[in-house]
Amino acid sequence: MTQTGQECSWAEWTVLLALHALEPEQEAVVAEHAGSCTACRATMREAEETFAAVGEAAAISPPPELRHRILAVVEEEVPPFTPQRTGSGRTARGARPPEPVASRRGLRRWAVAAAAAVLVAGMAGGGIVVAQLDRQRDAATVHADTLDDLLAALAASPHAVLVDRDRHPVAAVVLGDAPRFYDLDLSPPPTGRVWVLWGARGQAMTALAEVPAGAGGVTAGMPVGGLGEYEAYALTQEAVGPPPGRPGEVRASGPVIAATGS
Amino acid sequence: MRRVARARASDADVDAALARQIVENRDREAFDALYGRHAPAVYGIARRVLRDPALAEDVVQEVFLGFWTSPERFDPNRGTLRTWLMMIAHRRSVDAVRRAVARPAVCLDIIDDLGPPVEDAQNAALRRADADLVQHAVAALPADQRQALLLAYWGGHTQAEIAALTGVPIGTVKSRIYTGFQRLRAQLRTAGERAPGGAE
Repeated sequence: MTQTGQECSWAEWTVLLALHALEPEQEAVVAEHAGSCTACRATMREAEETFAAVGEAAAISPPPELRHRILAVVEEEVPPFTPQRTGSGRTARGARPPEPVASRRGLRRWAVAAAAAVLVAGMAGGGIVVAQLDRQRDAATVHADTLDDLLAALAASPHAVLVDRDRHPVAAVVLGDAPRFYDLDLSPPPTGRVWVLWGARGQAMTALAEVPAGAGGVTAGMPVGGLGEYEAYALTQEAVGPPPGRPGEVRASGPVIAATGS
Repeated sequence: MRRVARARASDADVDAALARQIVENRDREAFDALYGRHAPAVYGIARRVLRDPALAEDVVQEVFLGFWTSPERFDPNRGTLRTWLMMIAHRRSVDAVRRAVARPAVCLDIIDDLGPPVEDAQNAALRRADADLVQHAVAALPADQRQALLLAYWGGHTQAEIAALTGVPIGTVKSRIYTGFQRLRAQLRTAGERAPGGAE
């Protein structure tokens, strides 16, 4: 097995990731971190090797007919990078288009799994991932308690992750019993301007609070009253002073999604 | 040098060569050989998690046809093909068991109910020896750590579900799993070094 050097404060989460024992949203966050953290990549590899050994200890022979079914699909498959079809619809090699002989249920499950993988990939590239957490951890600006608090809150409560135009997550609103606002990576506003959090319901937007930003890391959740009645949240930069009746340019936004964890 | 590690390295070399044949030449014989080498482990994981032979066969199909369709998704720089296939098999199995309306009962002891032996795997004796090492290492874990690890691995439960099942806080589950992993990793290393022929 590979040897691990210094372990990251995310190591426990990384092992849970390797075990597939995280809630979906926790998984997206931890996977993003593990992908960019050298120590966690090593932990991940060690955990996968260790758990693979556990899995292999339970090896049993599958039914011989399964091999035949799978090989039949492979034999019939049109290789994806030799698509030189003739006018008859047959490939240049003469192979027919794939006609899987495996069970329809099995292939349907395969398609569902592929679709799910695409969905997960979409989530990973969208508003839920917080790659900057890793950089902030390295900069010692994220305390483990804050991180645990955020990850647990994302899993346990309805929330919105606010992403900017580049799909970069910059803030989160966690609802539930104790609604809170988290600055994930908001840049400091220009002099004379402040970040304002808005709640959106239908076409109506309501200014909720001026939120601090630019601390350079994930901040502990800031309690904000009246957060729980909106379909989405948005951030704008407004002039210092009483919030305007209408929002300026929306810099980041995200819909409320249900808790997927416990 | 360790006997098991050396055998694993050799296995990894063979797998890497077969994978190259599949990626570069769409070599069906290489795919067949790869299936023969790893299908028992993939099927074993799926059977153990799902407790349903038909569903387990679906997982085997997903894993191997997925590799055939997109072999480039395996990155040899991240680990061995064997480990990658095991990981995918577990992921698919866990996904399937979580979709199931009625989840199977969880067996908490890996030593029980391992099914028939692998009759057609290459190096069957060595693999059996490996399996014995792993089973003893798992059995040597403190009961609470073993329970948390196996509820996650074989039961397909999340840490929150394990907390609910065992009546302990999520943080405790996380700690038990992590400490159990560390112990298991250390015990497997030690067991490999102590195995007959394990040191030169």
